[in-house]
Amino acid sequence: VRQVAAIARPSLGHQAYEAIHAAIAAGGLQPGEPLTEEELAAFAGMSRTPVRTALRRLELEGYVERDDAGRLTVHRLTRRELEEVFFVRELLESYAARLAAERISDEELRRLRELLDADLKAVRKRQISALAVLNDELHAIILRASRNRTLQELVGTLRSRARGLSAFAVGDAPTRRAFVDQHIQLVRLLEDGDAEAASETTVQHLRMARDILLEGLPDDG
Amino acid sequence: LASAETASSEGIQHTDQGEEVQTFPAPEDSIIIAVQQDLSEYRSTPQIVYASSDRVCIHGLTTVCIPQPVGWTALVAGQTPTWGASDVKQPASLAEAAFVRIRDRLRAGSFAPDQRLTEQGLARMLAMSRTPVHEALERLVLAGLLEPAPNGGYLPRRLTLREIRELYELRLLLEPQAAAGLAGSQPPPLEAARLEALAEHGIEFDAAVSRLCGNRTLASLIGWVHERFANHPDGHWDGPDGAGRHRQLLAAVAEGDGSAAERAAVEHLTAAQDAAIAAWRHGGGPARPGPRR
Repeated sequence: VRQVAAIARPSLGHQAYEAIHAAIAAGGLQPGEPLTEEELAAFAGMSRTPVRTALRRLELEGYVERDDAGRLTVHRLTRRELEEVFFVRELLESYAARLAAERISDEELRRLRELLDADLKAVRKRQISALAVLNDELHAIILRASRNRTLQELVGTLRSRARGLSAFAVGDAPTRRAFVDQHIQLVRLLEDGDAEAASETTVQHLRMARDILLEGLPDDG
Repeated sequence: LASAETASSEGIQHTDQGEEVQTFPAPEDSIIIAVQQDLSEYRSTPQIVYASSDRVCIHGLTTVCIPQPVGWTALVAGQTPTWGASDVKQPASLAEAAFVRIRDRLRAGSFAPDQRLTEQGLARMLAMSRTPVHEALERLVLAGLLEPAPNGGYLPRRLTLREIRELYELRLLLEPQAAAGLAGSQPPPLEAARLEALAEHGIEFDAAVSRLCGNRTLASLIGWVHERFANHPDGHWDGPDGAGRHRQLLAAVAEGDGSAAERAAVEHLTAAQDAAIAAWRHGGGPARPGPRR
């Protein structure tokens, strides 16, 4: 019985995701509109559990925002916002990777290798929230290893200045595996101290994430 | 300035074109030279234009400061400084207003390097209560513009050499991209003329380029980096012939040559970086008027 539930749940969650995503994309759910699990469950015709799963994913992808009090609202990310923020992330993060290749410590490299193990496990088990958390930590370590405190502060301020910054490209299973492979490659390049290739891999990594997120967005109206 | 409104008290007033406008208390070191109601997209908020010793500002807005000769003509002719429009917004709160007003004074070099600033003193100077000033002071410390003084209160904070190097690394990363973006988007003639007029105004030229680059996120980050230099008003540090290199950049923009604009920006910023580091070494910080300890 437990196995059946484990298989059935992601698919219901996926249906809820599709229904809510479509409503946001089509404008049925307007930006700024408050979202409650009860109403969405009624709207999608299912229980609250898959709705909760769907909301977590939508939040990761930047379609839904959570305020300090935990209330969820719709944020319809525009293509332009997303392209702008990825342009800037490419500049900053590839630069951070370039510096990190020369400055990263053994301790940081050890932590990165641990994260890769956890990454592989999460991708096998389809733990999407875990993947997002691991992704954040991996990129935070590389940023810190740049040893440019001003750069770290600047990236910190991005959150309040740019929409769509925290958009995490979930993608399908093969895509998720490809992201993890890029993480593995990136860590190897950092170990080798190959600044140029680490920077280039970061650019490729971000472009792949951007393109996946763009696929899910309608044209800016 | 035949059309200028010169009153500065609060309340509803009329310009000599008969427009009804609401005034804000003007900063004490400035005079109002014009009142504008119709500022492009921001029609709903009437604005007061004031001039202090070296610039014309639109009060109540966060960042629009136009070096006097340009702003003067543009505003008297009734035109709108649209190149600042993306930054134009009313302060969201009293604390935001207090932050902006203290920051602008730091930027204008109104405080001596060793002048101790207190919550009470600033509240009196800005004619505000202490609560928003308190919040603004916390933000200014976070922004690296003030530091707590040993005996209470705050002092303007200088950048360290390391910070200057890191900030210029970021300028070199971001601003050439803004220059290329500007070349790709071809600014309308009026904007190009304004940029030309700003060429001799140090970092304000670079700020205007970023605002016109077409990527608001990029412009906002460049604004953050520039803000870190607010305590160093004499430290635009353009190096020799900064204006010449600004014009070189504009020539590339006029030809729509993105990579030439990018190169010109790199050249300009590299020279500015060298000048900034030399200035810092020379004085232990940028040269500042006022008493020194």
